[in-house]
Amino acid sequence: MEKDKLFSFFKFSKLMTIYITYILSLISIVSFLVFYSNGLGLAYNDARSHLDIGRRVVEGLKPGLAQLGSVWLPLPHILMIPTIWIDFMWHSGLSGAMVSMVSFVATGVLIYQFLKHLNVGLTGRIFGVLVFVLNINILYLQSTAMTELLLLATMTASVYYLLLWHKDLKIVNLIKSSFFVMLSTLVRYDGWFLFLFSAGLVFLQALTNSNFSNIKKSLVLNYKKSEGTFILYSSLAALGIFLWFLWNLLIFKDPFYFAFGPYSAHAQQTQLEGAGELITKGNLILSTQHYLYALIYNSNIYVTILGLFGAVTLWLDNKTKSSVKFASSALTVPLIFNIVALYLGHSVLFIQGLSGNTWFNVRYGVMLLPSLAIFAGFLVHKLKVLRPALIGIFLFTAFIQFQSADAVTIDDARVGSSQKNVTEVSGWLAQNAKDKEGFVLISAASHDAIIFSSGLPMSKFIHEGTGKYWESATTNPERWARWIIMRTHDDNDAVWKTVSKTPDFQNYNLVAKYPFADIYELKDEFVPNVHTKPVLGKQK
Amino acid sequence: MKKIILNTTIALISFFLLLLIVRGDSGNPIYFQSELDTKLGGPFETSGNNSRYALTKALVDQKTIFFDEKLAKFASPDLVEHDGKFATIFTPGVSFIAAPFYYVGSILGYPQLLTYLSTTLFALLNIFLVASVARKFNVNINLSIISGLIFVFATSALSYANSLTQHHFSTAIILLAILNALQKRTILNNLFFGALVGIGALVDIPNLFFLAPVGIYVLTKHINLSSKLKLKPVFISLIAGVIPFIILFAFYNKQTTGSYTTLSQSIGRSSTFASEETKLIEKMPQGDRPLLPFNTRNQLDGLYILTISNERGIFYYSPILILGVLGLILAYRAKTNNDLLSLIISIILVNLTLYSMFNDPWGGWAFGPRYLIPTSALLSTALAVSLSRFNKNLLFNSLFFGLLLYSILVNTLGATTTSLVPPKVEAQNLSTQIPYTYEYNFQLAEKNTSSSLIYNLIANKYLDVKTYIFILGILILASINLIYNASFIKNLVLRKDKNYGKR
Repeated sequence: MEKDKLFSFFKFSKLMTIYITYILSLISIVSFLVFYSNGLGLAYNDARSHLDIGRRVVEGLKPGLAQLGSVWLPLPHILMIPTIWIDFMWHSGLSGAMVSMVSFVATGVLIYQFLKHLNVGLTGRIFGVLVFVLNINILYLQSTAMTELLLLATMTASVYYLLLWHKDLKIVNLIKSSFFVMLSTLVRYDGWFLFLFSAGLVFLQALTNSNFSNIKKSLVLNYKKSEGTFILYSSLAALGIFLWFLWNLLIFKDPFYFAFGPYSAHAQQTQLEGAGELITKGNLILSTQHYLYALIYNSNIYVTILGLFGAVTLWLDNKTKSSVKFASSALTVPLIFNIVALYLGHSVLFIQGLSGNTWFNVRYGVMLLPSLAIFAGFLVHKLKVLRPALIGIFLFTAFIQFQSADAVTIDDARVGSSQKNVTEVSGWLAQNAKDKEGFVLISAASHDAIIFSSGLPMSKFIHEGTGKYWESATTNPERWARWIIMRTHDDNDAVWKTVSKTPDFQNYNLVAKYPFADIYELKDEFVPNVHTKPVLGKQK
Repeated sequence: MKKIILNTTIALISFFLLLLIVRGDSGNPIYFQSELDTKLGGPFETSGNNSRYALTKALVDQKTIFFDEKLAKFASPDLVEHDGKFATIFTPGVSFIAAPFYYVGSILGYPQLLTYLSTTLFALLNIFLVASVARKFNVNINLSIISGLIFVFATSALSYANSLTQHHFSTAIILLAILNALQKRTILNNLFFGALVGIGALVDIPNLFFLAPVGIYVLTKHINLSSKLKLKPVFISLIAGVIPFIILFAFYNKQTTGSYTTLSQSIGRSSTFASEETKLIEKMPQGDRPLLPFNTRNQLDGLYILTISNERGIFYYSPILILGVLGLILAYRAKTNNDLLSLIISIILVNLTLYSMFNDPWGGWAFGPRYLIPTSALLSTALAVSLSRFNKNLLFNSLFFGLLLYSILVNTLGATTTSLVPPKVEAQNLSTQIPYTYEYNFQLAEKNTSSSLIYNLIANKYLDVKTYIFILGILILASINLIYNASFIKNLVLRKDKNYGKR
């Protein structure tokens, strides 16, 4: 009888990963449908831009991989390519959301597995998964074409395999870890920091691990072995970074174009600094405060406290091997990275109440949630007596979060600086340009959301990525552009900056003026002379 | 016998000390007995008291739960209106409990004093309930009594020990529920537990949240795991205990809101007698209102306000409770009573979580963290564990008495001046600005303004308010010190006894 029970429990435990995958997939699909039906799935301006980048690779006046651009790292857009050519997948956002949804399920399963390898019991493991899943911000972001979930999945996978390698020193785990780090370096720059941190951990672990080499025999030999391990790890892990530099060199003739180019985050931050809005730069306390607020607003104060205590419990736990604690320290990478990035002025974060009355990039706070979930799961496992209390309060808090619809990421997308209500401009285009021939000249860097929301085919637009079309249209617009969308008198808008100086500009009428962009239309007498077909053929 | 003498002495001393903070003013012979004056420092300074008092008065004098115009004006703004009838916005439990006291008071000519005495008696009861819970951690009787005294005299519970609010009633119900839950599940115990839940709901709805962990614990005791998963039949008596009160509550709701299940709070305040300012606020668009008045977005600020802020921070107003937190850690490590510890921590977490998410964690114009009075009681029980562990440590004792003196003086200051301290956000927007911390109470004391009846009736002829507060504080400290040292001496004597530890 007892044996049977034990066997069925073992079987149940083994099947848990499958159950969790199944349940998380269902939750993921339901969440997507909820946010799709209420129109919030595409609320983030950036979500629409990500979808457009993917779409431009397969459709437009100059389709091809070069359209991946330099503003954002390419992996999220590459993963969209197999589905983005379908209009529904592009316009519903599902092409990008699918990547996030798969990442959501994978991260949930990884949290479960991570806790299992920390010798946490079933309750703690399930609690860890619940902390991650019962978070309205995560459920929202996994329903969008944003890149957060993909980053979370790749980073968590990398740290998970790093943990396994620290436990068993099997080279296959090291390679898997480096592979996922490589993927994360192609999602967001947070991954680059993880690469540096984890490479350091690999080096130190190899150097100090007595199984790896006998320290007494030869420190030099040990050093050489750790150097070898480090190189093995870094070769694959840094491949993505290397390729990104190479890409920038080949396409934009500058390996640092992504970092210092006109559309880079650096350029954006420089502008903000000029306006006195980069208040965290050079101020460690303010940087820490901003990130902690973002973290708490995304994860909830209760979960943050549980995670904090869980981390302390893990690192003070006598039963946990020091190598495991060492590997688990990589879970804190998002915290360190974000604070350092804010301090150095490479990142910007607006928290309502702390920095004015708006939100911006507050979603960065979600990056630590898998780590908090793992630490909280560990804490619940350790504090056996308090388990019912800790779990009960968590469920109660989660219930209140859902009933009060407290999702800071949705606020960030809807009312913060991340949103742009471009429906007026895109609506005008949909109504007036859809059934007429001719191209629209527009800066994708400034107005990608308009391109997306207009519902017009990508091939209707002449933008920075269209090569000769762009060059021709910005020097001689009346021959190429029937409509021009731009922010009048704003030199940050590449179209205004060039077109306003051309003599052709006087041949356009300002037909509509909106908060985010104005619409110019070619005067009727010049319309017969404007190109309406992609006559330049295939460009390289 | 010794125990009875000790408890009686403690009760008498505590009652005497509580009498010294009873609110009132000299009059003919005592003011406020027939005058419904809402002046600062009086028993009717807050509408929280007044609305409940109005219901008590209406119940006894007019045999109705509805208010006439005079009582409605007195209860405003904590007033609801349905079908042209006015009623209190609060649940009726406190007024129901206070009604017999009012009745006797009316006969004696002191209706207000006797009505408020109901809360004072519950505060007195709470000393012993806190002590009883603390005893479950295997601490000696003296230290457990000290934990009870600390709860009533060194936390914001003191300010509400002579009022007509829910705090002491709720605390008593929670403590009784814990004590009950730890006992064997019999029909009688279950009936009593069910009744506590029902009375708890009538006293204040959040009690249902606080009692939820205890309820779940009690329910698990009814689950028979030996064979198939099934409930023990005695479970039925739990339901039987709660039903009469639920029926009473449902009928009350039907009268006040027209629905058995709709609470007065949920139909909103009546603006008939409200000030122009209040009417303006009520008219403002509220947006989509969630089911419950809680929002996790408030939690960060709420937690700060309720724990360490100078507005309502529990550890700012009663730093002695930090030793209660230490006690919880010690109790966890000692594993003396895991079930009790789990219950206490659960209720504290529910209390903190609930009110940190509440739109008004300050509790309006109030003194100290009034919403955390149940937490203060529970931390006080754990404080006994700290005392038990470290009472021979000089450094600990110095810290203990330092924190205790501060906590007693701050809370005595609040209890003898006013409970009407505004939140920071309101204080800063007043035309005549006033402090939003206990500094306001201190200013009143400096102006020789006191809410204490004994002071206003007798002591003002000999002392100024500050001296009165100081003497009162020292009297409380001395009483606690006496018991503390008695315990210490007793321990010393016992240690010399060869058989110590074998008993």
